[in-house]
Amino acid sequence: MTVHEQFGDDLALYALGALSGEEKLALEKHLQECASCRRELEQLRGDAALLALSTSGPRPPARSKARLMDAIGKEPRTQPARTRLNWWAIFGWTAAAAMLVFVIGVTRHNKRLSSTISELSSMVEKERISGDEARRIADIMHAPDAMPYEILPVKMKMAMPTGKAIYSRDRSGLVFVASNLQSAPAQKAYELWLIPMKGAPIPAGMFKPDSHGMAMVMNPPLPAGVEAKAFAITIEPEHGSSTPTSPIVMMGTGS
Amino acid sequence: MLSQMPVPQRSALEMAYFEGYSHSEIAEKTGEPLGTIKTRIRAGLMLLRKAVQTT
Repeated sequence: MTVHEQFGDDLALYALGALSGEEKLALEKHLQECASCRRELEQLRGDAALLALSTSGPRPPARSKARLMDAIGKEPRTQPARTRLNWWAIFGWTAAAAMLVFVIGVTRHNKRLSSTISELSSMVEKERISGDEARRIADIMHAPDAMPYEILPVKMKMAMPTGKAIYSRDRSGLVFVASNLQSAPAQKAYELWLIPMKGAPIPAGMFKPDSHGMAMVMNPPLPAGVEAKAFAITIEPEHGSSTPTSPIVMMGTGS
Repeated sequence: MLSQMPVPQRSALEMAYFEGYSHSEIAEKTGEPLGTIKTRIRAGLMLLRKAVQTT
């Protein structure tokens, strides 16, 4: 017996298709939320189906047939069935066909989903590998024991300050490494500039050389898609400057 | 099975299931209150269920 006694009678009517109007709407709303009433409805429908099998039942009168035909006629894409087929059979076949279409749809959808899943997982795997590589490179460069080894022509005695900027316009990405730099004056720091083809130099990061004279700037924030004519370095106040305020100390164009 | 059922339940069930009347139409036709019709239909289905379970 259901705990929702107030819906008990309505469920029986609903199973027979004899509930209408607001009561029907109220029950349908309740059914969405109530599993026990749904189970009860299934049972009642089973009971109602017994009526159809009951040989002592009267023959369906014209009115029922008219109602069914009317309902079928309102269905989209249904041909007007003017045959003398048993109307229960028509109803059954319609339901079976609808179920078949539904199953085919679900199967296709499933296939699409599983191919999407495998695509995604191979993408994730690729991303993971390239991410690992990038992390490893960054790890080496940032390691506390990372030592710069300057490799120079054997006849050159003095190591010159050098800087190398690797810039990608498409990715607005910049990696800059410098070595043999003198330490910056007190309250000052080096500032890297991107010199565009047109317009004013764009700040591309502040840096101070470490005890080995080595410095690095990785991925400073840069405007998108700027073509670089050259990179330059000036000495600026520690907190940075939006335009160069001192003469360029180092500069290089792309090769 | 239907033949063993009390007449009021049986006729309410028949009208709802075979003749396709709604509960309010049945109440109107038989002159019985709506609540009585509802109770009869449910009782009829329960009798049917019982009959199947015992056979």
